[in-house]
Amino acid sequence: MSELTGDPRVGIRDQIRDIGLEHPEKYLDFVGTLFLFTLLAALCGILPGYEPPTGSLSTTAALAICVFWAVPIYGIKERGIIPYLKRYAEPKVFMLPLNIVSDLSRTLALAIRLFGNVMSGSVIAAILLSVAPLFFPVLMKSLDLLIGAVQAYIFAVLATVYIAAATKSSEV
Amino acid sequence: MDNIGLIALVSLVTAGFTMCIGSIAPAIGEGRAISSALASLAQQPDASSTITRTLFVGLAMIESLGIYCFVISMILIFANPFWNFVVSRAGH
Repeated sequence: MSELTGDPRVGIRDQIRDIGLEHPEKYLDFVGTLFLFTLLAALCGILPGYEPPTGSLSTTAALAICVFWAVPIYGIKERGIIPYLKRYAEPKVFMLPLNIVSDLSRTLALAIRLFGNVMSGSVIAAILLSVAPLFFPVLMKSLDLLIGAVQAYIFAVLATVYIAAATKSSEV
Repeated sequence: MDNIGLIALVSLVTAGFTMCIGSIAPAIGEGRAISSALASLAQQPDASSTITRTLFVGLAMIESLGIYCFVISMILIFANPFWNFVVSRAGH
């Protein structure tokens, strides 16, 4: 609970350190911004007439592309360009195309996951409003808030995991 | 049946089957993941934070499969390219 009540920077920093990054201060700006943006975008759903910006594929694609570029930037800054590029040829050279495809597909997955989760909440609310408008939309809206918070956490954690995989040296 | 009716029928039936089949497998996977995470939580309560975080990340990975199917069925219903093509051709 200390993450919710205290300084958010402390909680986010501890989480980043738990995932395995040695110096969380370097990644706090990026990951913290991603987390707080997606979290606020979801939690503002309690305001009437609010459409979450993460319910649009353009926003989530932009966020995912930020992660897509942040991973090599942090990785090259941490390890140098040659060891970073060598990571793509591990464990063997013929894994090279698969590693590249996995980089692209996980970016797509990040975008679609956030978009799908947030958009499904809006669609379910719209359908329920036409079917049973009295009480059930409130329940689904509260579930939607929980899903939004969990998805914000997952988005930030996945970005951190990808950065950690890129910055960690594999010689250990 | 003319082409418009056929495309509408196939799109709706496929959307239904996409959600149906596409939610079975992620449900089984998430159930297995949660049950084994609960078992390891009962064995090692000290590692609860690590287990919970890994569980959440894994659940997100599994759940994204279901979300893909949901997005595809939404595309089939609301933004079907074939439907739009046929309707725009029929307007001429």
